[in-house]
Amino acid sequence: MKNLLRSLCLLLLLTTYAKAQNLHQLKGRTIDTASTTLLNGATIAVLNAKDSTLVKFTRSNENGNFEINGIKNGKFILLVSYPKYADFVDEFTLDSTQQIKDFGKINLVGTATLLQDVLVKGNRNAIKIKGDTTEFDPKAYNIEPNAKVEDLIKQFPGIQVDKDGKITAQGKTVQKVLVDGEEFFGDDPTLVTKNLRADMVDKVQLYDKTSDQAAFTGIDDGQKAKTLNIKLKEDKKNGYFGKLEGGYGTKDFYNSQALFNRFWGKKKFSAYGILSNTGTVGLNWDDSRKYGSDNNVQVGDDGGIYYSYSSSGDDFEDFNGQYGGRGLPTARTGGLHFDDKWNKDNESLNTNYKIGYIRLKTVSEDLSQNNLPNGIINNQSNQNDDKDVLRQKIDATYQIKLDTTATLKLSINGANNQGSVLSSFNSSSTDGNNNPLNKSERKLSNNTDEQNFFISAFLTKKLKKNRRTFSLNLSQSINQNKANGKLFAENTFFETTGVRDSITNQLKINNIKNNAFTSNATYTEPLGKSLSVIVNYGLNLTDGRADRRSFNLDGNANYTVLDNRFSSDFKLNQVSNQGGLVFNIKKTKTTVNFGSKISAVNFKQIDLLGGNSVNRNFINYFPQATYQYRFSQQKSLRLSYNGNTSQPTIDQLQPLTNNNNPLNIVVGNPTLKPSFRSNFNGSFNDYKVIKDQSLYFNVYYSFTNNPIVSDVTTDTQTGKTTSRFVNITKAQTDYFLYASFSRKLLDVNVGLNLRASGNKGYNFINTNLNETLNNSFSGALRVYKYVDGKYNFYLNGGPSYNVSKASIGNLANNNGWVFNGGAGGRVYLPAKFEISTDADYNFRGKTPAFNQTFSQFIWNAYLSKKFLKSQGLKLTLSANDILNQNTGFTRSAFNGNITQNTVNTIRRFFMFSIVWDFSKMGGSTPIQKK
Amino acid sequence: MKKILMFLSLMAFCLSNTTAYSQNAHFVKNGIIEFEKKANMFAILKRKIDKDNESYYQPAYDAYKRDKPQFRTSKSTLYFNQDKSLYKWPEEEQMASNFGFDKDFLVEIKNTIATNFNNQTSISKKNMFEDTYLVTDSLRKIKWKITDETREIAGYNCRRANALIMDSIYVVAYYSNQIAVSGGPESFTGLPGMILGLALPHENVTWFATKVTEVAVPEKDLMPPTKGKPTDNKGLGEIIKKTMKDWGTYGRQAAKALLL
Repeated sequence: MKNLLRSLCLLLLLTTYAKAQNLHQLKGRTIDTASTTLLNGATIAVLNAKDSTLVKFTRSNENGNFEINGIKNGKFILLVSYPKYADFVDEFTLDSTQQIKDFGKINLVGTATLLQDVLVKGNRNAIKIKGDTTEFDPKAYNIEPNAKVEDLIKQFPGIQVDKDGKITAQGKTVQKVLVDGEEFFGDDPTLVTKNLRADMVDKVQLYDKTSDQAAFTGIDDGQKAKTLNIKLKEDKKNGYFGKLEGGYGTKDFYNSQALFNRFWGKKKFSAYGILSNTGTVGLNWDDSRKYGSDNNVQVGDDGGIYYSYSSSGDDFEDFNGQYGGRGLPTARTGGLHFDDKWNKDNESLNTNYKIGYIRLKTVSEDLSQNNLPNGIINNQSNQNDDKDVLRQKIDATYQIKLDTTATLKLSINGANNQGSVLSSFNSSSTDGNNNPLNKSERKLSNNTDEQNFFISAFLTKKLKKNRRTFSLNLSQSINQNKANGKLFAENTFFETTGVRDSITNQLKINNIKNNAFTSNATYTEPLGKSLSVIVNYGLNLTDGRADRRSFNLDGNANYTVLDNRFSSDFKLNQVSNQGGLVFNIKKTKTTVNFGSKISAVNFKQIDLLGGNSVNRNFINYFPQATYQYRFSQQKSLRLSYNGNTSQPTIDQLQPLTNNNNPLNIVVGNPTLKPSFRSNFNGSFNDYKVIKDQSLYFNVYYSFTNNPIVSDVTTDTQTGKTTSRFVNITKAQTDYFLYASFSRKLLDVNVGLNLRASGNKGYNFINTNLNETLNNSFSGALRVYKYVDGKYNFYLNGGPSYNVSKASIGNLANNNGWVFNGGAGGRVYLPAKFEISTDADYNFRGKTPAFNQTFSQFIWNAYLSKKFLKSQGLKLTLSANDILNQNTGFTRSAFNGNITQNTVNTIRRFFMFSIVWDFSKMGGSTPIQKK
Repeated sequence: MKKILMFLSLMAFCLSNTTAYSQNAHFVKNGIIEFEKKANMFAILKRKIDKDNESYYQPAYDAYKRDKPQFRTSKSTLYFNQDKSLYKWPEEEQMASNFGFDKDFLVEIKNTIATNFNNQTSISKKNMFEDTYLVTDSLRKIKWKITDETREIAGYNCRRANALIMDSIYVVAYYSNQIAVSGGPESFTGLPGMILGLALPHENVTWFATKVTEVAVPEKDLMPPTKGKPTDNKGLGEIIKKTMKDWGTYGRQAAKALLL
């Protein structure tokens, strides 16, 4: 009895223990029913019955036995599988009544309970189909707003979708479902839900896809897989956005812009207009992307985004739409843009029309010191310009992808510029003892009408062999410039023999035409795994005529008498053949390239009035070599050499004689020979991302053999100069050294850079050889911090010291200190207020040549507040050059000349402006800048 | 009676023997698997366009779509035996920068992962810019959902399993029970067989085996990586958080890839 009790207690204890653990053991034996063979290695998996997740698994041993321990109470599925056998599936429940579950013999046969009947699943997206390429247009079918793709496909003729979502078409199973070319796996709705909605579908294609192996090797192995490709619609982009900006300020400053952009499907139309006298002459960078065209974008192999930006190269067009030149501009500009893509984006058209009128007022003052072997000449001059320009430009680009390997781009553009300028100019020169040498007063009026036309074709083709490519670029340009102007000049020379006056009053008619054809064909051939060779050839033809005539007054006060001295009519023909061969070696860490381009140039200039002609042949060399080593992804060293022949320009050989400035006469030198320049460049950079630390060095050195230098003779009596160009045997040199280091210190980015640059050059001053040495040393410190959406600030600045030395006329030099600095910041305040300010400081110390210091502090600031839920409305109060110190000052030294210039600029004004960004785009949030 | 018993057992022996030859499957227990990783760049890059960057990303995206292929593929290898596996990438042929419009961490990342199936741990070498980390941790516990969908990959019949990892990444894996090792590409393991196909459908990246070679793998080919600053997953997570806290979407994408 005692024993019985004891054993009962033990039993109770045991059961409670078992209950507490609730852990069970499963066991069984896998066997082939037909042959009664024990199957070893069968996979036995225990899944949760509620969600089919895997709990535990094992494999049967050599005797077909298996054992799984540690399974808790619950409902499970036993899944036994064995290669080439049907799955065995059994649902079972484990509870406390039974600690060991023995499945006994598990018979694996050809037929068994189908797993799919017991698995927990949502509506799966697996699909089955049959057929040749067939396309279905969903628009022809009824789709509920949130219908799934299966619901759509079900409606297509000849296709059945069963209750599991499996699709069959024409009796065959679809093996792969693609969405936009990528395999579609289908979501498990119990894990994620991102349904593909039927209204997102553009079209459904059904076709036989060759096996991946066949696609890879190009050998058709005859294996076709039924494939269903679901093409989604491009983002619904129908709508418009735009911007209206108006600002008015003190001193009648204004700045207003209206921009509008509408798009539907793949078409885009935009228009803009600008009225401003604050320096805004075009769209800024961001706006020109949004409202303009951008088919000139490419993504390089290194992942960089490359914009090719074409500009007419004058002050009125810079990348950010800001006027960069001298004087005060008043601009009225506008533009239209249209682009479209079709044929699966394989073809595109992009057109633009721009019109701009700009009025420019410039008032400038120059002070210069001309150092001569026997003294100095001081010059002082004032110039006033009034310039009006009306420009129109139209362009169109058509691009077509001919096949997967070839692209053709055709561009055409035409431009017309009409301008008129009215300049008045007065100057006076004195010698070192302040004795007057000359005095000049000039008035020049000129009307110009310029037409440009340009057409080009660019073909790129990848050939069958990997890395073998071909490209061809052809272009033709036609430029014509007609000018019609009057020159009135009064020059007074204070000669020892007395005062002499000279008056010029002429009508000038110029007609200049230029046609140019350029071509370049490039072929790249791989020579092994890492070596390739690039061969190119180009033929360039230039054909031009420059007819410039000056007329003096006749007895009837009409400009009819041709002044032969100041008239010319030149015809220019230039033929250039260029060939190149460059080898390129790319290895894991090393890239090397070397080679050369050679061009043979013949040019012929005929003076149709004088009968002289210049006919010259040049062979120009352009050798190059680069070595690059990448230590790691963000650390690299690069060394390079390139050399180039520079042939003398046509103006150096045979310039046109003009008397626009009678105090400066230019003479040609037909015997000039080309010079050769060699450039050496080295750089090293190391960027540590995690530390946010960067180190960068750059060294540059160049020398020019047989340089072409200026030879200026100044008449010390009159101050009149005659200049021409000559070769000398001495080499001119340039160097540049730069180092920068930056890293994060106390959560603020701190950077330091040091720079030294200089050159040694030569020129002739009154037949004496002058050697100039210029050196400039500077250092700067910068600090910045950027906290997204809160604030940011920067501070930078540092001194520099300039040393310039001329071997002639060392009476006065321009050695001295300069300090440049800047600071700025922006704070995002509550209630959508924003305050921003920036300042630039510039100081120039006294130099022996200029006995005064110069400093200016240009400080700008604005305060703005955004309104509306979209933050689309913004009011801004801004102040430009608060301290009114912008004087447009520059100082420079060149060839023994030291010049200081001031020009009128936009100075202090205050402005109030409203900007409204509006948009309506298929219900999405409005586009707006931060 | 005895004779009959003898005869029966002999029969059984003979039968079992012959059937063993004809029926018992051959299980692969060691070998080399070549994987092809495929990334749908069109979809990946499209996700990067937002309203702050669209003025320059959209045209760049259009240009990319015009000039570049839709898929970027790369090859990796898994060496395995019953105890261990080593997943690795070939030496890079071209060293490119980490930054660029078409650079995505999940596409570019090349981790070396050594897995020990016996003690359920792994040692992974992960490159993060200039630093290399050696992450030692236990294997990720993945709650696989077994399905009845099957497909053939590299000649092996595979069964599909789905899972959700790191709270948000949907994973589809195809495993074959004919390879008796519970391994797989990258850090994915834990299925009753070898993973021969892997997809992160919403990240638009897949890994599929192209070739399975059954061969004895020498120990030296299974040696875990040794270079790198030692840490574990938690430590790496903290380093990533600290480095990329101001990096926005790019940082989140990078973190996802590095912790995968």
